[in-house]
Amino acid sequence: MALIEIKNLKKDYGDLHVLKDINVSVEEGEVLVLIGPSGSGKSTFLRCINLLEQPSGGEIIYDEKNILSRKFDIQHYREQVGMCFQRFNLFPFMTVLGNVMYAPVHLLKMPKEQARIEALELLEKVGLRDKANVYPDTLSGGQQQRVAIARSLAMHPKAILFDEPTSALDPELVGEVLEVMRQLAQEGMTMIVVTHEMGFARDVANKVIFMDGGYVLEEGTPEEIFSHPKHDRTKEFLSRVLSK
Amino acid sequence: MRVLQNLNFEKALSELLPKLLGNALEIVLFVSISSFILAILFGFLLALGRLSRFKLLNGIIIVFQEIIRGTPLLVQLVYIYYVFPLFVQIIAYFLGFPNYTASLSSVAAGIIGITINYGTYISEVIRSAILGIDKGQTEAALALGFSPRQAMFRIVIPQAFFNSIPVLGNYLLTLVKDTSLMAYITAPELLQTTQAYISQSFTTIESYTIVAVVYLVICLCLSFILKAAERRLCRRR
Ligand SMILES: Nc1ncnc2c1ncn2[C@@H]1O[C@H](COP(=O)(O)OP(=O)(O)O)[C@@H](O)[C@H]1O
Ligand SMILES: [Mg+2]
Repeated sequence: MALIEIKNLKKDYGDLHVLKDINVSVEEGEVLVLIGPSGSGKSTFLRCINLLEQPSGGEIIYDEKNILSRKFDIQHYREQVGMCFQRFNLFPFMTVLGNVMYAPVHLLKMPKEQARIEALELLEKVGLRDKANVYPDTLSGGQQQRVAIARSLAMHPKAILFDEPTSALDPELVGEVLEVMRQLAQEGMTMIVVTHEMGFARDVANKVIFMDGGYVLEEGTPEEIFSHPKHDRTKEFLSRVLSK
Repeated sequence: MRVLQNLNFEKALSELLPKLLGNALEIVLFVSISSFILAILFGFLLALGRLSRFKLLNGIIIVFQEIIRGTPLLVQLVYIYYVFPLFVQIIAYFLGFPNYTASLSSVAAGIIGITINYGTYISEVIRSAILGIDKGQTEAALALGFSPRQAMFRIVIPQAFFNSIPVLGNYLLTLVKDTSLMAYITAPELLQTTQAYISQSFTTIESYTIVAVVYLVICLCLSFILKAAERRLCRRR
């Protein structure tokens, strides 16, 4: 039974049909990597999954419930499906520790002391325990993204969505973020990752999806997609990004 | 020049200054502080109203703002002090209280007028500060599981207020100076006290000079405090 199953997902902005008919399922503990040219709808797809965008049609089944049904508790669902953004979006008026413990204290009603201990453990895990008491704007992009990952993890999510988590980073900072994500994957976190880091996709993904023009053009294991792409568009895209 | 020979700053200082620094200053500070706080609250409510999805509320607030911005504060003060009580009296008359006489103290009228006027301008400061917060902040809060309302009140608005502090500080400075308009509605603040003193002592040059210097000193002090506060807040980030 898939943790998240997306059926016939559509998203329109007026006359612009961004997602045309997406069918994807993600098993628990699976890492799904989405690749595709810019503007192909990858971000829109991720944002539909946690309802930052309202889909125009189709179904999204999470844990056997249709998240698009009217009675569905969206906030509770979002507590379980975290998201990390390209631009980190840390809260600038809170310290690093404050960022990580804020949601568990206010949403899970976790006692402050427990939240603090857990937050420090998570910061330890992403290698930033010594930065607990500084403000985010004093950190490098790579450090900020690792804090953002810790902030997501603090809610004990069942899955995390990543929208190009390393695209806003200087090249030398990409590795430290991917390293944390690799570790999460090893620990069995369910992840849906949009990325242009093909090395990461090849090593970590259980399944790779190539999106173009609002459709899933090709889906398979990293081996299938990277070594034996079937579709011409996939070959073209890969030769373009891999030659860079 | 006879006028110059007759100048008597010593007398004016010894008689006027105690009055200014006593009751008059107290009124200025009281009105400034209370109407500034109320104006921020009022402006905040107007800003929320403008940001809400209720078209009617939006329309009402826009009309209200245009009226306030399109008339001078002095006229608003006069209107609240002299005209508003008459309206209340008329309404009371029709409700069956023909002998009811309404009146408003000049200080109360001043606070109401300044609150409404400054609240209107401050509402636009706060509204644009709220709109200026990166959408990613709201999205990050939503993605964690906060409701749209929680994201607004816990994440966006604190940052919007923080970002508005320098502009609000400037408004406080002009607000303090604008309390002098209350002289026109008989509030015994600095300017009115000065004028009352002049009419009995005929020390025009001395008295107006003294009151101008008093305003200047107040504003310089305030400006200094605001700068220091801003610097501290900036360091906290
Ligand atoms: N809020 C929006 N309103 C209108 N068009 C949008 C909006 N968001 C995205 N789009 C359009 O949808 C298409 C896909 O965007 P996006 O999902 O961001 O692609 P990707 O992440 O693959 O680069 C683009 O053409 C973009 O211009
Ligand atoms: Mg994108």
